[in-house]
Amino acid sequence: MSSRRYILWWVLPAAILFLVIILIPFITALTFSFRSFSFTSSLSTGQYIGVDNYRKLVFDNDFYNSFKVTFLYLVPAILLQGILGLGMALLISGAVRRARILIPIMLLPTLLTPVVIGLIGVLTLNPDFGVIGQLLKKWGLVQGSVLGNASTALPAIIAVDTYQWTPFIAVILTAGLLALPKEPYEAAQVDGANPIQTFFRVTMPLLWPYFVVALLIRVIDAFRIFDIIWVMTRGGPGTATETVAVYAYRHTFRYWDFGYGSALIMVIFVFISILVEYLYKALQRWQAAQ
Amino acid sequence: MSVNAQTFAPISSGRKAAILRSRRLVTWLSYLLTALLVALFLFPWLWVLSLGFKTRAEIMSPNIVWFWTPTLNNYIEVLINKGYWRLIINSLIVAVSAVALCIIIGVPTAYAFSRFPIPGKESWFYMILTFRMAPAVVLALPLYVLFARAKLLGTFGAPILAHCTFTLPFVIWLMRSFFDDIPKEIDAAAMTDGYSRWETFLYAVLPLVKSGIVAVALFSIIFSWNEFLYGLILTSDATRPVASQIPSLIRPHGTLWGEVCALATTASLPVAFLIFALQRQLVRGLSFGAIKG
Amino acid sequence: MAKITLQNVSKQYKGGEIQALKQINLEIEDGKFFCLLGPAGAGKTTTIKLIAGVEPLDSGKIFMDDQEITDLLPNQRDVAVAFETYALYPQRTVRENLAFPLRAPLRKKEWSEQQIQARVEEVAKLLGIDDLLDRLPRQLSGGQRQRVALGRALVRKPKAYLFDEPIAHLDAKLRHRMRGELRRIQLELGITTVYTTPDQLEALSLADQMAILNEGKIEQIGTPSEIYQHPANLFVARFVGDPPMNILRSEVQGEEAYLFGQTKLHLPDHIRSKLAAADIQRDLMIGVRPRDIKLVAPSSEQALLRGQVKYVQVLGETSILTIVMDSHEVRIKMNTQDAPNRGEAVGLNFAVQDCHFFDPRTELRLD
Repeated sequence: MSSRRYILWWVLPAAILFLVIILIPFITALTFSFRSFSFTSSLSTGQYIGVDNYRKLVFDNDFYNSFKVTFLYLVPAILLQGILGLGMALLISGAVRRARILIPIMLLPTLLTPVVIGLIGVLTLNPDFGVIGQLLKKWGLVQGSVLGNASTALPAIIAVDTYQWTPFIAVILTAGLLALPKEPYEAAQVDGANPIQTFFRVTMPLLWPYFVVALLIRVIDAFRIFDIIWVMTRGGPGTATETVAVYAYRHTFRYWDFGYGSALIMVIFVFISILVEYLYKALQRWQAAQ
Repeated sequence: MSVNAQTFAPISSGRKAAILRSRRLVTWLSYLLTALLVALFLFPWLWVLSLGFKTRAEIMSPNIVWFWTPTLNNYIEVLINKGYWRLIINSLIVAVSAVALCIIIGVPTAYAFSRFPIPGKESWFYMILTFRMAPAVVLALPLYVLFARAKLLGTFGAPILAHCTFTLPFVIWLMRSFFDDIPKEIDAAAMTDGYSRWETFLYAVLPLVKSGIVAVALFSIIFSWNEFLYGLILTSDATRPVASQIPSLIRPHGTLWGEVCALATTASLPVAFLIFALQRQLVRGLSFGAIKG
Repeated sequence: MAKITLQNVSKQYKGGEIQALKQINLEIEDGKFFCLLGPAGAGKTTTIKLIAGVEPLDSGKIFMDDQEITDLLPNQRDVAVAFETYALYPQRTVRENLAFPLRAPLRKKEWSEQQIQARVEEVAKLLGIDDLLDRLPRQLSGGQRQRVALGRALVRKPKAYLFDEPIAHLDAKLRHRMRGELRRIQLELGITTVYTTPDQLEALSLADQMAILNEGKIEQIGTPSEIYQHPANLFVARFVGDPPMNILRSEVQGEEAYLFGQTKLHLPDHIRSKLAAADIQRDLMIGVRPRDIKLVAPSSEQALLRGQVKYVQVLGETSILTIVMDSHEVRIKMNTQDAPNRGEAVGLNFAVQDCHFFDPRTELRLD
């Protein structure tokens, strides 16, 4: 326990794997972002062009659009999921106390293969035979295909995302509700607080850390979302559902533009690392509080 | 606070019974709503499952067919005749290998992070979390290039190593939280009992986190099984996992929905099974160990 | 069997927030039963952990015989520890817990499976837990767990036993028996033993040698009788002995010390010379053990102090009396049958040679 060298052996295999599959590739992408690849071959090392890729990025309207789309998806999705998740948690926590089995059942949409979730979205929204798509058409809410229409495609993705993630937020908040201490409630009762006052003054403050962690994970997910969009719209129609991850994919694996694609990747990564810092602190605060 | 006379007024037995009755009613109502909610969330999945057991005409019928004679034709066609059972095996090979590798390598590291004064411990953890939370597209491009140079593309090595990029951070992160729960006195006792650090880890501590390791492994298998992008671009037709293949079966026209649903069902049943096996650890795994579930 | 030496050992926790041990020097002789006595938080557990090697020290050295073991791993030190927190292996039965040290890969060749079983049963019987061998720790009471923890140390014959409050959670009767057993085992095997306790009576009755620890510093080292009879400072004087020593503040005038302004006490020569050396002009702390004070009639000339009985606490054959005088209280210990009633006026007498003298500023003993 005294020698430092001895510690190294414990972490060495993981450090090597981390280096080979994460750090070296990441640094490779970083160097790519300063290069231009005129003909694309995986063996080509390209040509050094300085910060040209980043300069191009500044004037790239599609790039801004992808951020706009990401936020247009993120903000309503999180508001919706936060509110629905809280309501759901308050509703089900009593039943969950009795029947733990409800947790895995509820989490099925969250953990199911995202591609399958996307498929569920495509099929249920199908205007010809989908259970929801048919209704929307019958009620005249949508003309033709939901996913083929620029104004309804993103709301459809938000809806599917909400289907997938509301149970996640609900289950985490349920865990929080079940772990709440009894004393503050007794104190509130003695003080003669009504249920609504108790909820806002006692429950919410105690539940807040759970909320923060759940929502931060969701915010970061907004920069990761890819599979579901890929299955449902591939970013279309046009660029209506092209979030940042989908946009980066377009430049890397459809245009095979390694240089510009890498610059996009770096920008996304910077965003993620800032968000993760908040998440990390929230997680630490949590563990300290326990 | 104000104390009024009513607070101290004795509650008549009749009123007490009425309060109890209304309280019970509220409880039952909440159970009923919970059941409805669960049904609501399960319904879309079950509906898609049902399509896999329908004929093409039944699927495409403008009026939804609620009662029908289930057929296994879609399954037979997609899994056996088209040979897509291979995709399931591929998913299994990739997920199990990646998870086994990361468990073997990651668990001792997690223990070290839990017990030793590693310099810059918190920065390492921040970095691990950052890469864990980064979208797949960040590493997909450089991995594609590096694997191509190493002639790994099209072998199982490529998706397995690529899956380690998210499995390894997850294993280290979550296992550390399990180790942190074990009092350090256990290590101290074993070491004074004559065990070396490594033996202490093996014989005294590891048996205590057995269920944690199983949970982390099952979780990682789910994530690996669900992964789409690496499985798509780093593989050949012979090594592609099932999740990466499904989207390509959806075409603008003439999609064989019955077969797609049959394949999707086959792909999602193992996940559903694992979720139930994981019951106790679900919350902890999903929130990265912040909440003891 | 070994001598254990600590040289200038310091240890901090939480990055310096807590100074657990401050420059400790300690020599524990070979084959001795050594007690570390001190209140909670004094640094007893830290000392045990440092000797065992389960925590690194910040500075200083530790020796076993003449070999330095400061950087040795715990399993290279050959010590057996009974932890205050028990630290039992929760998934193993009592039997497996007790066998665990014998099954260490290090000792693979020393112990056959049969020998292990026999030894485990022997120790279990000794500790009265032989009927619990197939239980898990969580099925045991606190006292039973503590005996398992003790047993896990006792199954081996190491160079040294380190016991951290090993019987604190047993009930009084069992504690008394176990104390005897531990002392007997130690005498039989002659293994150097370090034993921590917050209970001064336990330390006095068990130890060959003892050290008093307070806030990470050693206040005094010695045999129990040395410590009882010559407490090195006010802390030790107050901590050792039950009821604690009466400490009276006095004023020095020439060759006399005045107690409460009423009583003159003629100071012995060697104290007076110390007073001069320590430059003590006025204040002097005088300590008298409760059993060294005798009751006399209040009117008697022998009465050095006069007061009233405030409480009588009967402890069987002996009683503890609390006597008040002005705003001060003095406690005395005496035979119950001779004890006066509550409220009675009494006179107190004690001999100067039974007094302990302390410097009020340094709190150190004068002679």
